[in-house]
Amino acid sequence: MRRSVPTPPGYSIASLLVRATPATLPDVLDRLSGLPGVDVHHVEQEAGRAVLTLETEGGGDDAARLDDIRRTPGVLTAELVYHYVEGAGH
Amino acid sequence: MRMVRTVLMVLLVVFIGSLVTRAMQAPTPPAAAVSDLEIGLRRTPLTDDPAPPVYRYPEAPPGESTKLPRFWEGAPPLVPHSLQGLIPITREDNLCLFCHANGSTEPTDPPQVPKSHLTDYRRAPDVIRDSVAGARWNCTVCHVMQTNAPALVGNTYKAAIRNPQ
Amino acid sequence: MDASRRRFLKIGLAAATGAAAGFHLPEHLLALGRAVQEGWSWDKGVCRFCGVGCGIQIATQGGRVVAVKGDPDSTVNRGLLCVKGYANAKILYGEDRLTRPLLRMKDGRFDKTGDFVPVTWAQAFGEMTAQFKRVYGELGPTGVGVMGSGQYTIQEGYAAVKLVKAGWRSNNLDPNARHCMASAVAAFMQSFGIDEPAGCYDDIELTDTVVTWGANMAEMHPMLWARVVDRRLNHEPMRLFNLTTFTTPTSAMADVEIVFRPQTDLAIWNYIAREILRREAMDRDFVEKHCVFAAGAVDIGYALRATDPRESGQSQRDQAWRHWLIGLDDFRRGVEPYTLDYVAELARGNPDEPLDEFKAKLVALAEAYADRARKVVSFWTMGFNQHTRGTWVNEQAYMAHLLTGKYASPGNSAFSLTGQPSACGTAREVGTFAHRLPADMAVDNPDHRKLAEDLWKLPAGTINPQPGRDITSMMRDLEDGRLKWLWVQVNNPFQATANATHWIEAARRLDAFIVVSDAYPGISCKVADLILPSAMIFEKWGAYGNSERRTQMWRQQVQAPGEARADLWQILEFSKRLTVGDVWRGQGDLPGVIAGAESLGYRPETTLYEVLFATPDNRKVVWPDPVAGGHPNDTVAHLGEGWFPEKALFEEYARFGRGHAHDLAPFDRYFAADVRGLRWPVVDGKETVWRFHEAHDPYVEKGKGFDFYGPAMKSLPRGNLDAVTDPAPVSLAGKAKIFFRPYVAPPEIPDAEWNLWLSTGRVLEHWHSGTMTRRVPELHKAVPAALAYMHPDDAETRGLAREDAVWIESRRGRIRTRVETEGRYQPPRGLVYVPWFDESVFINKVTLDAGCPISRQTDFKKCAVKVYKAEEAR
Repeated sequence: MRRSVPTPPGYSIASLLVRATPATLPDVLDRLSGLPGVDVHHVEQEAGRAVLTLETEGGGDDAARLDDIRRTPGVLTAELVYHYVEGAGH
Repeated sequence: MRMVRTVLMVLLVVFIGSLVTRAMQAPTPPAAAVSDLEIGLRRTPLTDDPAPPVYRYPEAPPGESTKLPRFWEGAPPLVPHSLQGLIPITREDNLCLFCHANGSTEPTDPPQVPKSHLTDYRRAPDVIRDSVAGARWNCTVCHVMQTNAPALVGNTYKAAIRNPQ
Repeated sequence: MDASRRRFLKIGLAAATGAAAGFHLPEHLLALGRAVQEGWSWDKGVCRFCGVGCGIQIATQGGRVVAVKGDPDSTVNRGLLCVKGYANAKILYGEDRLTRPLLRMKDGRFDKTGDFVPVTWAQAFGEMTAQFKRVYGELGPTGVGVMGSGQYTIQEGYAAVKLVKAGWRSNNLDPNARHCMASAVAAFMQSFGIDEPAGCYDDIELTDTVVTWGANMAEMHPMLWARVVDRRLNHEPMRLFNLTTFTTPTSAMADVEIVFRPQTDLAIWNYIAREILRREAMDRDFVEKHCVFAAGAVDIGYALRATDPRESGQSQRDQAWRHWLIGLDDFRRGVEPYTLDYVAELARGNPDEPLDEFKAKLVALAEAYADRARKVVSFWTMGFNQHTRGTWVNEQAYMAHLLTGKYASPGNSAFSLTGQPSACGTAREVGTFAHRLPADMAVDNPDHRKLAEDLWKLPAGTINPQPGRDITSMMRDLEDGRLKWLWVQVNNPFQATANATHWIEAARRLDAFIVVSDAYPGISCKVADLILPSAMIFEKWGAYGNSERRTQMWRQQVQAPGEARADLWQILEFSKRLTVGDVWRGQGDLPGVIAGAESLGYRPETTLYEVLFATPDNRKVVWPDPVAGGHPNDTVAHLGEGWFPEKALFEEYARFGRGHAHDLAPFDRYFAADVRGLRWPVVDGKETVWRFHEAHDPYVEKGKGFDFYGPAMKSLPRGNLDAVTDPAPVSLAGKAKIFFRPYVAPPEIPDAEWNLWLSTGRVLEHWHSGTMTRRVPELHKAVPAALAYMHPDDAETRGLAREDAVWIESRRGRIRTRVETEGRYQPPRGLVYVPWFDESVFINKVTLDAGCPISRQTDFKKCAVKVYKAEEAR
């Protein structure tokens, strides 16, 4: 039996390193920046890499949002680098 | 940077099945009872023994799978591809190194062992050799595959990864 | 959080990410990136899991553990960790952490048939005390018990020893280490008179041969195995032998794999000894100067209940320890029947292996031991210890090493690998066993009791001279109504004990009260009456001692969740609930000591807390202490009295061993920046790497060469292989014993109906009963279920296909799991292996609670089962 993992209440930011091929990168970034909470920050066109952030407001399931990013056509890898959660700590 | 201490500790009480969401909101949670069937990773009575579900390891061969994210800093990457026919690693044969320590530099090629693996920390910690150190020979002690099994319970660990390498 | 701060974070994190990934960014963004990473602090610690005791570094930020890495400065593991080691951070954060005491209740009162209701600590201790007084009043000290642990910190174990033995005058304190290391301890005591290995891990880099025997070292002590493999790859003469009852990942690295029939290790050792003598490879000088030969009682049974038919005719079952001196001629006669032909026929474990090949391997093994120029390190773990003659087979390892003089010197070692992180440091050294006191002392020795009573400032006669019950016997007593109050700490005995159906039913007896302290709910919690939430490693101060006698300490890093509290706090707090008057009055054969207590300044209403823990000496060890370096101590905070129990109790405990070859360094020294634990005895600030060796052990006088100075059992009568012939005691001071032990069949062997051997054990990714590791998703997904590993032919002849659901059944019970014929374990035909980490595959319902009668350790490695297809569970 599987129970979903609730995100603790509060705001969270994840930073991601996304890889695509140099040719498809512009299209991929177009699609990704259309997803809710996603911002594109730094792009290295020749290497096909970019740094993105994903913001989630309290109650959101960031694991699923990360999955959406990974499954976007053209995305080769999407590495979670930082994950800052406001309101975490017990 | 301030971290606000929240009622996350109340969230951690959530584990006891039926107490769950109401308890998070009530200032003094009512003492709702939970049976021993609702605690632990096993939800069947101790007298009943169903067989576990079938779980499968990845079937995609090397080169046809996507990298799995590391879930904490410094953690050894997980093996995303099937290891059928590639293990066990023996004294003479280590097929992992054939792809993962062949000196390739293309970004789409299999990830190469990091410098830490080329260093003998016990005898010569400042020397980076051109082959994997003996103590690192047994890859599968640190690098494991993942089946399709869902997590049994959640884990609230949040890694702060500084170096994506 | 306001919008501008969010922007700052977003930009800063993105910049830090880009910088780390090698993007070219302007300096102002890089500075922002650095600012975001402030606030990490690293501190040293030790891994929570196996007996290797890898050094780790833990990073915390904002009150949570955020990262873990192998400590490059630890000589144990030099920056490496196995996959469980990396999980040290995540094990604290499973969502179903226990955070409040839970008591079975109905209508607002304790009721054994009720469900669990959260209560306060005060309520929990209140019920515990009331139940304790009820049982203690009815049955006295033998009616109560504590099942402790090799995963207790040193301080927790010491506090438990004091509370149970000095406080309650009960000796019913026994650890799960009874299931793990008891045979090793018994053999150390019998062979050397003192516990713990002579050598250490340094021997790996110095040896020419490693023999792993009854030890899947590649998975169970992975970082040590990494060192072995490293040596093998870099030292050409090096050879690896793996002796096992089924092929494991350790076999994959070995030069020679010997698959033997369960229990025949006893015969193989005797073959080796016979070869050593036949080839005249005995080190005569060493043996004559430093060793004696010994034999002992044979018909000692199998540690089953006395009423079990297999125990009838076992005339010496109550004298299993008994042994005496014999001569070299007797020893020769003893090993004479163990010829290559006889042993190969008996011991060949893989029926598909040609006998000649098997014989050649045995010869190669014997040659490695006999070759005077070849250094040998033998490693063993549960294959030897969890054995109905576990003490014997441990002794046989020493036999081979002592005969050849390959012991206690660099590169030559017979090394018992410890399973748990502190079975050595806590259970064995502190003495959390039913017959023990700290520093190898025993409750049935009047001099030892006096020493403890003096040191502990107790009235003479407080300590009960009658040894208590080992953990399996406590379970039997629970079943029989002789034990009615039980406190389980830091282990999961209702999943871990063999023949489990009996014990889970016993726990539910209406007159029994079971308390379980744990971090996560497991099977023991399910059968408990009161569950107490415990703090985990790094949520409290602590210390562990690993296999090579290395004591390592850590500070508290983060706080425990909810109301979870350290086991040390629980013991100290509970001790406030009982007074001298409650427990020091006369009980049966135990005379009262209240009068004696009064002459020491105690009164009947003085609490055990004041007598045992918050003593005037201990209160002088105050908090805060500079050694804390700013780290918190929640045990101090919750006790609210300003004294530092972890340090005070450690120093008090250390007094037992200092000057008696168990010397520990001062508490603060373990926290020095350049220290990564210290191997005792630590004398004049220096650790001891090889014991008993003149050049390395400060307790050995110059000129002696070797001195096996352990004091226990060093006065023996003389006899022959069968019996004592001259009762006059002979002193063996300074000597080690070379035992002759015969092959004896196990009590349950496969037959026509129960036609497979069942062996049980662990897997790399999971620790013990899985309560911690199965809450780390990566570890769970790596090995999600305990399967039945069997030979494809055995599956086929039973009409089974890989992944089929099957029943595994013994005379004691049955469970269901799935067949695996292509896994990492490849048993020979005739054997099935099922790991025990999975509470949903409760294999201990099937195992047999037979054990070594000397050590009282259960044999989890051999019983007889049948395997057949099961209907699919839906």
